[in-house]
Amino acid sequence: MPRAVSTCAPRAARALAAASLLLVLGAAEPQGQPLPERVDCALPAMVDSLRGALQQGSPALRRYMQLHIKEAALSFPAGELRALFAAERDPAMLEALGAALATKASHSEDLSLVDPILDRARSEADPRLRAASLAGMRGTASVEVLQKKGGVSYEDFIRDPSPEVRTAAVDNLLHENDKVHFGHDRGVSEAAIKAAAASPDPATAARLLTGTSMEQVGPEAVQTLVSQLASRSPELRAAAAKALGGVPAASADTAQRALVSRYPAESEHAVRAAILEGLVHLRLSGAAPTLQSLRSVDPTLALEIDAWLKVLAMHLQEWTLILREKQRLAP
Amino acid sequence: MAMTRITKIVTRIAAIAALATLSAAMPAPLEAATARGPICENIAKVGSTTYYSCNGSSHTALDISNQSCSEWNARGMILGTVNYKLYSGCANNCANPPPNPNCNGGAGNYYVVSGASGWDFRQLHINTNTSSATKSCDRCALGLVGSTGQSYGAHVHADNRQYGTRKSAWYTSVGTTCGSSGYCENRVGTPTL
Repeated sequence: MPRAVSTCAPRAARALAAASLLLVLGAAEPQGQPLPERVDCALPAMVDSLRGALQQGSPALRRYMQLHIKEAALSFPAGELRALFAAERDPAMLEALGAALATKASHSEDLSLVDPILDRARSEADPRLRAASLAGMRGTASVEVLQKKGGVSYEDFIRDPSPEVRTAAVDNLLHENDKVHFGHDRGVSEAAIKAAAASPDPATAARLLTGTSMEQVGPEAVQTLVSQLASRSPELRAAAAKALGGVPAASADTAQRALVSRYPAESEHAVRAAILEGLVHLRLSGAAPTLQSLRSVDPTLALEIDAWLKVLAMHLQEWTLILREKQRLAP
Repeated sequence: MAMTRITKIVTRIAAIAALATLSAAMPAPLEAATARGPICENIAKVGSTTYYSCNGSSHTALDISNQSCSEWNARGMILGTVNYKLYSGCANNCANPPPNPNCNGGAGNYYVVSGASGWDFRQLHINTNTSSATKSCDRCALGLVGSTGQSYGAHVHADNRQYGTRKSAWYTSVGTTCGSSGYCENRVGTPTL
């Protein structure tokens, strides 16, 4: 079967690739073998290559082709891309084409390009296709886009009956918090908190709260976190306690009061440990008196409190360093 | 013997689980982004890197120009969608020397992509237009290649800093130097964010 060679790369890259290919072929192929088949620089041909890569390619080739189609989509007509997206039934392909459309939308700032993605994420009967469509928005400013569009939010997706869709929603939010805004965006953090509150699944909610930066959230979102300290799920209570540790200084008193009052009422050891972590994150070295005052509540956590106090005495300047030292000293 | 082997396997699994827990609790490590040239014209070139004009005083940033002013879009340079925060308020300028060199501390109208742990990526001296705003996008138009602030000749100044200190590894590591292409499809660096 002849190998396909894309001619869509920029000229310099093409020349280099062709030279390399000739060298390789000259060295490895017997005389008389057909040269690799050239593929037209057209979107359908590229989509075929992508499909082949997604079905049979190595992880590296799959990643390369996904990136390639996203970059190529910037110069392809939007209508052609939309039509291919609308006709696609394979989840992996749908996600890749959705990502290409969303990238084009982000580049051109034409939000109408994401309409077909949102439509399919909401209305496809097959949950795998709903999840794949939603995953196509990953790595873009999807929270902002949904706010501008109106009518649908991550709270809706997190209530989807399908776990695939809920996972896609969480992955989108965490990726957006981490890679698009580097934890600095209030809108994304508050969308994650709202989605966690709306989630029927405590593990999903806990994952959202654990992975989201809280540095910009407002007082209303802090109250939502406080209310989750009373959740029936220990996992969610622990995640809420740690999340409260990261709220802005303006809400620090509210968060501290909630954590301190929850500590004696809490029955789970792991949640109490999370409350201690939340308090340290909130006040850093200023948390020492509070930690001392909680020592008598649960003697089994005395070593945990000692470890925190030792770390705080080091006067480390960043939370990541404090956390690392605590893990090193953990009882 | 069999018990010893089982014990070893259990110990290894426990160690892997402990490492997995640790990695889940620690924040994600800093990553290098990819930065491309800000101007979609082939003649765009890098004019200054670690030193002004490559032989002057310390600069530690890239200056990229296509010898035009207020004509070509200055595009976001980071590959992928990120948030560009605009600091504006300087009157557009193409005059040389600039009439208001101290505007925004010499940066003129500029954008900042704020990363983690004090890292940021900035694009300076923009002449603003209707595209100019704080926004999240993938290499979108941020304004026009201009000369606001402490700028002699219209260009885009791009730097990668940690806690305000400019770093050079992001462009030296990919071989960008004076005369390198500043075209929007050419990678000029891998800034940390």
